[in-house]
Amino acid sequence: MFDKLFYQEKGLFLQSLHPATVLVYLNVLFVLSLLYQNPLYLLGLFFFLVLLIIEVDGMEAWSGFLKAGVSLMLIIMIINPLVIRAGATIIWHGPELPILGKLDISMEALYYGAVSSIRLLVIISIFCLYNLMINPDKVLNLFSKVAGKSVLMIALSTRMLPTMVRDLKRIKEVQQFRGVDFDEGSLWARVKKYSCLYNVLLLSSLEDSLEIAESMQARAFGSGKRSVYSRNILRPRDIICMVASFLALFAAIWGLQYGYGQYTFYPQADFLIKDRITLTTLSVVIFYLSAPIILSEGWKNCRFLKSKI
Amino acid sequence: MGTNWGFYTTMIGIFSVALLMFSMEKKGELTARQVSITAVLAALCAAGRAVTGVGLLFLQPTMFLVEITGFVYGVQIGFFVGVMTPLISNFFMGQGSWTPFQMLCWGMLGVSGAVVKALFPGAGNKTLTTLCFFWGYLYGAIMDVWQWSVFMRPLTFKTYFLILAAGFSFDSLRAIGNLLFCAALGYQTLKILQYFHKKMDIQYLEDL
Repeated sequence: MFDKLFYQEKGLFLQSLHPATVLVYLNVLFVLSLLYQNPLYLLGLFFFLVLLIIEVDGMEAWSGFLKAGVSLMLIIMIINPLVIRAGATIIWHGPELPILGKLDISMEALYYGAVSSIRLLVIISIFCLYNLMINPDKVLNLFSKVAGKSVLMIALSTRMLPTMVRDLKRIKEVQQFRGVDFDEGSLWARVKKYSCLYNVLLLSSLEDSLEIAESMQARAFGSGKRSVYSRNILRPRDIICMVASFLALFAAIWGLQYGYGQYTFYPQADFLIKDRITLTTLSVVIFYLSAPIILSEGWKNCRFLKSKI
Repeated sequence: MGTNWGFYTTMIGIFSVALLMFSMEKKGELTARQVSITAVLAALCAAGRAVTGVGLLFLQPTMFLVEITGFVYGVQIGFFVGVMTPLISNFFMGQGSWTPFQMLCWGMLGVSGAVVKALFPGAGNKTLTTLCFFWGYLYGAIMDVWQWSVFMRPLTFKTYFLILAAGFSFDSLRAIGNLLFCAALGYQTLKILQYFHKKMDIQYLEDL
């Protein structure tokens, strides 16, 4: 059921990038999604992310992520208009409530709630993209020089989690063979049976951990400086994408300084498109951001480019 | 309106988690046994969180385990088990910008267990259960700070309390779940973990 949500090696161009490049690129997207206030810019980012997700062939995973975000979206959209009094265009005069005061719902507050949920969608899509584009083991490897043991522990326990679930099933089956019926008896009796299960699981996995420790020691863990087995190569494609993402970030920050991408909601919502530069800034930023997509298309369709990057 | 607090809080979360993890790792050399026991306990907690998080919604039998780990094994292991629990279970439940704050909360939960040990070395399961109950609410309150700063405008106490009130029933569920799980399973867990603590504690003759 969850398989679609995780990283799968599909041999795509976007998956062949260096993990550091992908991290820089996704971080730029994430920072932009938090810095931009203008609904038009957020929508632009959103549609751009949809393109990227199609490029990594992840529509199925994305719909799973979106389902999880909908409830959070609804809360934001309901609470915002209820508490915000700053809007000027009142569309509904509500009754007097004890804590909230007078319940007036304004157009601008509704609007702000809607824009916030677009931002939420953008953030969710970025994390979906992270899961699709980058092998988690490679990311961990990237940090293993700085904090080797934390990374080792994270990798170990990520690997162990499915084992844990499998062990739990196995222990349950063994108990069932011995005549324990988990669906029988009062609630209290059933809870007691399950708590036995938990005890066995805890004991056996701690026992296992001692064995792991012994095997780590047998492989000379902690006996000297850490050595590295696999290395990631930094190719021209990585440099192009990294430079492009920094350019996008600079363009965006330059634009924000002059107010392109900023937006005021209260008391009255601003114009969506103030002048032509609003659109120009957006398209420049999106152009720089689309470097990986352009390269990916070139990689698929142009042999010359493929040999060069 | 101009300052973008959502951005700042998320960044503060990421940097403080990274800094804390880094300093905790450098705090003392971890032995192979400590590394593997941390990994196993974190996997167990994460499995508990991921499996029951879907099935039982907020009744997650994990907070007490993290706390007792901190209580038995001390600050370093308690912190790492805590920090890794949401990180790893979110690989399966969905990573997001909420992860750093969750990691902070769970890490502090592990540390709080160790603090209890330092203040009251003889504390039993009752103290831990009470603490676990309050952590149910504290966790909700801290996570609400994140949600509030990212998605709410204007940032006033009123909007914060509204978010808190909106999540109150969930927080209570979590707190009561913690209470029940810790009361039911805490004593045995404490015994098992203490047994293994004795078992993995090696002293070499030359150090004595």
